Amino acid sequence: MTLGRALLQLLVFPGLLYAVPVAWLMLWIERKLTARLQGRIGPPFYQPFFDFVKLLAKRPLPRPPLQALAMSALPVLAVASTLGALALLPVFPHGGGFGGDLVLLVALLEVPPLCGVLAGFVSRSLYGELGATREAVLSIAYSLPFLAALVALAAAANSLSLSVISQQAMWQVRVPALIALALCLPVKLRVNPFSVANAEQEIYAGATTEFEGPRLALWELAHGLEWVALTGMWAVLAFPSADAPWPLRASLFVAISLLLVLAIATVAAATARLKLAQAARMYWLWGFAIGLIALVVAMVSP
Amino acid sequence: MGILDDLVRTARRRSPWLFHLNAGSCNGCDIELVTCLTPRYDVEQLGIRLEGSPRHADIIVVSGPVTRTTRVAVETVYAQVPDPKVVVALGSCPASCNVFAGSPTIEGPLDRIIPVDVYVPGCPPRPDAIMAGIADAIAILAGGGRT
Amino acid sequence: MNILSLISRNFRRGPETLRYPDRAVPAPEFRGQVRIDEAKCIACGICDYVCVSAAIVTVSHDDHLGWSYDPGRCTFCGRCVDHCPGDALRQEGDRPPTYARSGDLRHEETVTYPACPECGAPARRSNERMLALAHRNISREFRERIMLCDRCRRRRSQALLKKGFGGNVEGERKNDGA
Repeated sequence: MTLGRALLQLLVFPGLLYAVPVAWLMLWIERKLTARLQGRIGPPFYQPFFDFVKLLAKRPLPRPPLQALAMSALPVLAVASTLGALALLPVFPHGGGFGGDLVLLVALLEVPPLCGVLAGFVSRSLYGELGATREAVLSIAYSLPFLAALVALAAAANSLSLSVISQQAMWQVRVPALIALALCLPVKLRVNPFSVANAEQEIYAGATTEFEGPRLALWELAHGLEWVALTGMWAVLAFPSADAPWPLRASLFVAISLLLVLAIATVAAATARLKLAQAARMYWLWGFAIGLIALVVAMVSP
Repeated sequence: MGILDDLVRTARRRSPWLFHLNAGSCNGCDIELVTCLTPRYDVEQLGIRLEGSPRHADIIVVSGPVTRTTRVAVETVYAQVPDPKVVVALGSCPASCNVFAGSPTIEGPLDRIIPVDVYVPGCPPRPDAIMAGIADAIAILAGGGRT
Repeated sequence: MNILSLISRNFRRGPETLRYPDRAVPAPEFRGQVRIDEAKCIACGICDYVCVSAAIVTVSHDDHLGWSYDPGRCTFCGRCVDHCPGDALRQEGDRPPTYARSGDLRHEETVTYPACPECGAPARRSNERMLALAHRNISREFRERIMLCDRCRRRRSQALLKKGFGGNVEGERKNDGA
């Protein structure tokens, strides 16, 4: 991967220029679809953009310097690492990526939840700590099927390069791995039925309780970018990349991401919130089972 | 810059986030406020979100005559909401203490403790009255807000 | 599967929402602001007495009653409407508007006393319901006396008293044969 290509993927597609508007689009789709499924009208199209601008224009209250530094750095780190993860996605596998970039992708995707947990603790609020603890417990629980699925795909393709995996992994492994990954998406995105980490009725706003103004704007942006990155990752692993022309690949990428958003939003509208123990147990049992199936199939396949 | 100000003003008008504070209310007004989130009235069509933390909010909606035990909470929460902010007094209790006026455990109408921008009368106010009050609050917010 | 059929029905039917600023029309029985009909008011002040939240405040003057009402303090309970002997109060079928300063909605009405049939001075009056509440046997003479102003009523009561003790009333000749 050349520097120019890297910058292109980081800044244009599927990086910053593509990701930020699509993040807002996905946030809007989720809210609008949830509203329609509940018989309501829902917010207008430009809502997440105006939320972002309004938050930037708030005048936050001063905080002690070290706490202010930490509270500003964490959302910036979350946004930056999600953008980096997006840049690594092999939408156009030829010439992009490098050997071992799967490891970097996993590392980058682990940073936003970690920043969320740290944010809850650094804000020194009881509700922040409660939300952060729930987030931490859930992230340990879903890491099992998440990593198992990715390891299975890597083992099946015999490589740690995302481009190779997305082209070569065979369907017996791909299907259980994709199911495991899809199972992990609602909890990483903090939607029903796994929205216990930011349960407003119980713990105020969870980990982001003490964040206000521009810092909160960055957290909302990080949340939107997580939608793009995670659905994009699933989309990229879901279609075998034969030699297709690049407009087709790009549009398939976008289309599958958006369809996944619709599916996740529908499931979120149809389910209630599970308790922390129930959610964690579900990942330790069912998530592990499906991840194990993917691993076993990967090991025994030629 | 003019266009940036216009953008900020539009954003404040299109995205007002609410925080609801119960200062000793009987819950009648609180129930009618939550009714505004239901499909029949749906304040989300105006971009309004009921937020979990006062630090996320622009509009504080207070119900209830301020009791002795909630006075500190009202002052603390008001200080926690970042500027620009607007205070809406919901119902007749924060406006005048209604039937509780003169009681030794009531700290008096809300404007004795924090500045109030919009009063929504009613006992309890109808959801469309609450939405009209919030619309007034949004207009104040977009016009500059109380600092 | 019930929830899936519910949400798919919601999606197909479309939203139930009233698009702001459309409003649901209140039912005809909706208890809104209190309105006074000055013609029927007898200035008794019972509404001020029974009002639970001091929304209605009456001030008696020599020739009129000041009736002041603040919808911002009102509980819309309807006690004033129920207890008014003259049926002068009713609750309108719509809600009060929002306002910006406490007390902005308070408004005053004036209930002028009618003229005394004898001397023409302002005289507070009563009505049937009030009389029934306050007295048991009501004679025709009593009803007439009630309509007079304070001075005339006092004078007539004195005359009756004198007559009852057997004395002369001004201009009337003694005719009981004593």
